[in-house]
Amino acid sequence: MLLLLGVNLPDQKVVSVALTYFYGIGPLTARKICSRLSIHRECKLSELTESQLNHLSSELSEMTIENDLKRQVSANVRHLREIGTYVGKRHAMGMPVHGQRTHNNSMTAKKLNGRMLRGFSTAAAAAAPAAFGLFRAPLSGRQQQ
Amino acid sequence: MHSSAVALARSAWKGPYFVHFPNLQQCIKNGTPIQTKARACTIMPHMIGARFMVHNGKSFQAVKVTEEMVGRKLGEFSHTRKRFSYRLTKNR
Repeated sequence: MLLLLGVNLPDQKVVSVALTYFYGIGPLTARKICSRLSIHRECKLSELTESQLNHLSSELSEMTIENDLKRQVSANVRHLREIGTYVGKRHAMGMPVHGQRTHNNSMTAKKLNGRMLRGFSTAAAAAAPAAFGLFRAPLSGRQQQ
Repeated sequence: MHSSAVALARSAWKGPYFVHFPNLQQCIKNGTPIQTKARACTIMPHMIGARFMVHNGKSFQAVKVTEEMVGRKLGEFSHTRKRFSYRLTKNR
């Protein structure tokens, strides 16, 4: 295993696949990074030279990935909630945002949507236990500030 | 984020869709709310500070425009659905 920017990457995998272990890097971005650094398509992570690894880590440290990206996403959602939009309300309720049906299904939204408002920020973390699942929580937290 | 969302939805040469409220400046000064059904109207910078009563299909909901709301639509702030709450009988 190779530790790069706080993420454990598997040695035996192809570089473009291993890069997708980062939050915020999918197959396409991974391939773009590889071609920019002229890393061969089938090159494994263990076959990279020291200088290539350095280039790779400097490339990655310039991007918004992992915790930075998560914080950015949750900040966007929280902003929507605080100004009182419909989208923000749906996020807070843990319901689908884009007008999908809720008679049944919508399990992904129920699983994921509230998370942005609860996790990752100190303000939301403080407000969350008091009003877990209630969509007023971020608003009341803001008034106290 | 807002600008891109608007830009993606509509071709740039048209500009944002918004409704002309003739007495807008006067209403901002007086603080009198403007009743409107134009939910699709984009909130423009010159509307900051205005009070609107935006129709939600049943009643007019109060919306006070702040700086952060610029670029979004009026209808986004006037919710159209009631949260479901279970009642044992309908006649109550």
